[in-house]
Amino acid sequence: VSIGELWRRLIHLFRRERVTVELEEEMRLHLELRADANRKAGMGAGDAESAARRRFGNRGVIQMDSRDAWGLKTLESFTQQFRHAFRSFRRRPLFFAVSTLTLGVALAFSTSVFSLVDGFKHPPNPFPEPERTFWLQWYGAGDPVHPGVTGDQMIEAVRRVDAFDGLASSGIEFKRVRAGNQEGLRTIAPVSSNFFKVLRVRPRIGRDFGDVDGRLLDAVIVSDRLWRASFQNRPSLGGATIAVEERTYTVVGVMPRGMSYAGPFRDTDVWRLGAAGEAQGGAACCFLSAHLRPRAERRSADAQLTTIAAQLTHTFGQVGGRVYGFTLHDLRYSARQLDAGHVALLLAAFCTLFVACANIAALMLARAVARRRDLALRLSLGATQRSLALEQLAEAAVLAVSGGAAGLLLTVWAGAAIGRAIPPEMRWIAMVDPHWSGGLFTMVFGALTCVVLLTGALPAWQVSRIEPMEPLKEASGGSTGRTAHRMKVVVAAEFATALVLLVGASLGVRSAIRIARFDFGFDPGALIGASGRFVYRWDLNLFHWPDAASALLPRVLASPGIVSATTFAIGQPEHNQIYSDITTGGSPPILAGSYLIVGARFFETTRIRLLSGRDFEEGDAARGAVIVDERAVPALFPDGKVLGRRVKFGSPEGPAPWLEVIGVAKRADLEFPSNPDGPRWPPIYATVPHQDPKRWMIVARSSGDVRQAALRLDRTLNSLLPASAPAYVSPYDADYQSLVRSVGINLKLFGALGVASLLLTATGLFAVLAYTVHQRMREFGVRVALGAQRRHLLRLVLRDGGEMALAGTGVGAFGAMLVITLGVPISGPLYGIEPTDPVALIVAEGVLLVVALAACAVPAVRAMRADAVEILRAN
Amino acid sequence: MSIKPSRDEIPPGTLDMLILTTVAREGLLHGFEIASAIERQSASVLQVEEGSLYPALQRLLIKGWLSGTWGRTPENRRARYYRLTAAGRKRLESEVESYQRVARAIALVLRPA
Repeated sequence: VSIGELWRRLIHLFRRERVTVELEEEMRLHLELRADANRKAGMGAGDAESAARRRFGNRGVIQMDSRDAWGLKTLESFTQQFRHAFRSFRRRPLFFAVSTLTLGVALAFSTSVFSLVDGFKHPPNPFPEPERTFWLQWYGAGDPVHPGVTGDQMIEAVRRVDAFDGLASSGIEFKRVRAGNQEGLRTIAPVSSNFFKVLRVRPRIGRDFGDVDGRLLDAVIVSDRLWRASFQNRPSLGGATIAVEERTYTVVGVMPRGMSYAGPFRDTDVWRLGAAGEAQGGAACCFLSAHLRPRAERRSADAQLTTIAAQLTHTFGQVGGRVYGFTLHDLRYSARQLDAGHVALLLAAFCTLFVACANIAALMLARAVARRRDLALRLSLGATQRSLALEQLAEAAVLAVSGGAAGLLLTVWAGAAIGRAIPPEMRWIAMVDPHWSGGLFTMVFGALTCVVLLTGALPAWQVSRIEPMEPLKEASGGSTGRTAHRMKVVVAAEFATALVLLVGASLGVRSAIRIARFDFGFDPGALIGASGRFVYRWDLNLFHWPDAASALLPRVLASPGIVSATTFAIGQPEHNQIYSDITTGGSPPILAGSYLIVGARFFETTRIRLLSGRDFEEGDAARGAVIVDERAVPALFPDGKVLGRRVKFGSPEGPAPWLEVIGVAKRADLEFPSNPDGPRWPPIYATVPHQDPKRWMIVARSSGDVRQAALRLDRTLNSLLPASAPAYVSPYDADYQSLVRSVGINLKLFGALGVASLLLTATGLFAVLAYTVHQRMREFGVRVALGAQRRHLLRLVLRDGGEMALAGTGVGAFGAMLVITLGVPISGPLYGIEPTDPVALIVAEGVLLVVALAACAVPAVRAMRADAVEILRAN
Repeated sequence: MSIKPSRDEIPPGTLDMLILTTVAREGLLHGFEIASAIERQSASVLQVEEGSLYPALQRLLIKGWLSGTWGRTPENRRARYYRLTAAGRKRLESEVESYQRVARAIALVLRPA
């Protein structure tokens, strides 16, 4: 068939009314001319016309034959089948709605989870030519005394490599960025104006740095991540600005998804124009990026760089035995390793998909059997087997399309919901932006369509084997034993799979509860932690500070919103041993990996309760004092007398001083333990002179909004400290809270998959029970007529449902234990809960059985209402 | 009293060829003229079944071997006139050639020993 012919067929398809009218006109003319000819041959007027009509034949048949020539007949037959399918679904809206929703839910959940995990495993690569674009790592002699080559000199040197057709420079700085309503430390890259041209990356909104920006240095380009988080991913720039420290910049472009490159740093959010090597005032921070000229080979670039390195070494000399050298790193992204959480998510998505497929199969099987009689009747009334088979397939196709449409809507919704649910700090998963992939949607849709068409084809295939009289003779009783059995197996398999998913979800819930209920022993909610470290001694000397912690404490206390603050450090006891004056005699010392060196008013600040004694005061540090956690008392002071006794961090003969115990504190954990069941040292608090003056930690109590207070404190401290020794300030329990949130997200994902599979399984059970009850109504009628009680009927239906649920959950429990034993993760990371936790299994079983009972309720009630007279009369 | 010639049906599969040949020879023709021309040229031996003429014409239009334009008959009636297209001419040549080959073969078989 040529394209021209197809085109003509298509034209006539749309103009079929006109084609029919024209053909009719042609045939009328033919008849008139034939009648004229007959008249001329001597026939009478009436005879001439009827002879012409006789010879011409049936005009209706000719019209049909002509339409056949246009291929319209096949099309009309298809249209008819689809119309029939729609009518059939209109008669059974519940079946249609449940099937469509099953397909939609399965599509949405599987696509979202697959996209999420795929996005993590294969991060989006924004570089169009990743194998020809390089980060050019260079190393060589240089220290503050011998700075060596400068950034500009290095660029000049590398520019001589003619294998490159572009060379760009970038630096790196970590600064406080205020964008939209968000503020925080972000990675900023000062770059040369040709940076993105060399990388061949184009902004997805706005523009690249142009030459004009070389003079207007207030332009920045931001990452897709920052744009989504701070500017709600709006489609145009609309004069957006961001503030870096106190300076305001205009956003001129937004980078595509996944672009966060600036040399070795892959978490850049802001690119601004800057001179080479400007970032931290030294050439050591100048990163170079280069693009390989077309047809040039990497080998030749390497060779030329080796020559340049030798020249640089010759010119600038060796410092500390180091020479200049280059390494090229291409910008190809490699696939990431999936962790147990991802594998569990994938497994859960596959399980949901399987449950949905089984559900569709059960629904279609139930419908197919219920329709046997109807099909047999139509077959005996003259319908062709082909048309009946086509009708079944058309129904399956309509179902697939409606399920696909529902799936598309739900997938878009689920993508947005996941996006809203995942906080940016949830690193294991937030490394990708939640999105949904069209390719994966098509794959899942294809798999589901296959299931629908195959199960839809079953009745079509059965039609060809129907002996019309057989189902008619059976009336509604039906010898459907084998099909009913098949359906029960399918539903039991659904139960088994749903159980595996629910065990995973229950494990997650138990783990999340354990995390959320962790008791620190005090309320860390209003506390702020601030810490930092001076890298260079000369930086610390510049401020004339004996130690950073004591110097910074007054500044912290002066910060608005701070009511009290104290210093905080970790000390290591010699040989991990702590002795008291009464354990030196021979009883074993207390073993501790660390003790806490705290400042005055530590207990006032943290509000850890003191059971006896007093808080640390100014001046305690000079002579040294100790407060012990109540859990340490039995080991250190078996006689229970604590106050006024002495403690030593290290062996009795060691150099550490004996310190007086001035109080006993209530049980408190200052950190969230990574292993809740592992050994935990009870904290022992001591106030002694600072051991490491370069490292500092301060804990402060805020009076109002802890986040605002932390932000203000951050600004105060960082405006004071040098860029090489920034302060890291955050609410004290920020890490714990982000863990709680990330566990919550994990739980929501698994929970959603678990609930979806639970609902699908319940629907499957309901459909099969409803069908079996429908099929057995005649039997129930006979039983009632013979004197059976209603409760016997109830028992019969419940037994049917119970068989499927128990068999399914039994197999499921075995399967879940088997996969857990094989080491397959069925839940996200667990905290303090064993995968074989019996409570999780019992909860999952219980939930499934309750839902199964609920699904049995409606069919059971229907069976109980069986009216013998009415049913037997109907049959 | 003239002897009425015996009428034969058009052999299966040859109607398309006869229509194409007739339109090729006569130029623009409408349906009735095509049927009449075939009868006339076959000395009234072949009688076109009018019921199959119009589906055949539709088929040839679809294939692009004929094109149809609406015009007026000498009696001022509206009629669709058919014309042979370039593709139709090519098709006709190959069909005639194939037919002649078959006819020659049949003649050979039927030749008296």
